[in-house]
Amino acid sequence: MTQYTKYRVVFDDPDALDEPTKVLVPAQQWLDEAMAGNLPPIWVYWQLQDDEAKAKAEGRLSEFNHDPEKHALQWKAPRIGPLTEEEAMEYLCMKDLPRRCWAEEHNRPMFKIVRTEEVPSDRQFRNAWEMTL
Amino acid sequence: MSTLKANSFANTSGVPYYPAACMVTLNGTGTISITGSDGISSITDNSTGEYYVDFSNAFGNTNYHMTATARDNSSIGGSRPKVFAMRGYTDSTFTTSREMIALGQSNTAEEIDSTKVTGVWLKDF
Repeated sequence: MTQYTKYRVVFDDPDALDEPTKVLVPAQQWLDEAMAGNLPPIWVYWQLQDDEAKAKAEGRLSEFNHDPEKHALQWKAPRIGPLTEEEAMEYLCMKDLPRRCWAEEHNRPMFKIVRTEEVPSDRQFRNAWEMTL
Repeated sequence: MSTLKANSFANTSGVPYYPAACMVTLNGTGTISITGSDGISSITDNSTGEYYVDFSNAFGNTNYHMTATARDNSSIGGSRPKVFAMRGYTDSTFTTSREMIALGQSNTAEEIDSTKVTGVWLKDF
């Protein structure tokens, strides 16, 4: 069954501003897990992303293996407890958006959480979409 | 005969095993939506015919198996969609996120949307 989640995140990648605006769609199953309190602290994911980025910078991504203990924290770290849907969306932004979108200062907002119905359904000019503030 | 019933499997360190680690089916037309998913936290509508998938949990390494396919909907763009690429957000395969599925028309390679795009990523045990 199609998942009609309430929110979307529209965002621009600061490193690729000439690309069309992107739209992030949360997975309902993941939102359910978040609202049930089954997520680890966000730093568990950041730690893995940092290790991976370091491996990429050093050109050893194809042979890269995560540290087993850090990797297992995704399941073993204490859960953060139930989140509201809005809190889950904020968590998702910090997990899935490129970190430079929200962690660095820019001269305009690089992302915006919007209601699903605010996203155009006509995709004829999809590659010309730009974010309005 | 006995029946084995379990909600999940894990190794002795508590790391779960999933027969299929991640899968998603999305509708890339209209307001893009997820039709069904398992093991993913989100998808991103990047542009026409280009979608990113973020995994709920990171893989242990980049040696996972992946495949994607798309339904032929010739009313959109007048041509058949074909999966032209699967890759990470930049140029690499990543364990954590941002796996990309790109669709193009089978005759021109021009990007095209599809009503049904499915991606599956299987853990390398």
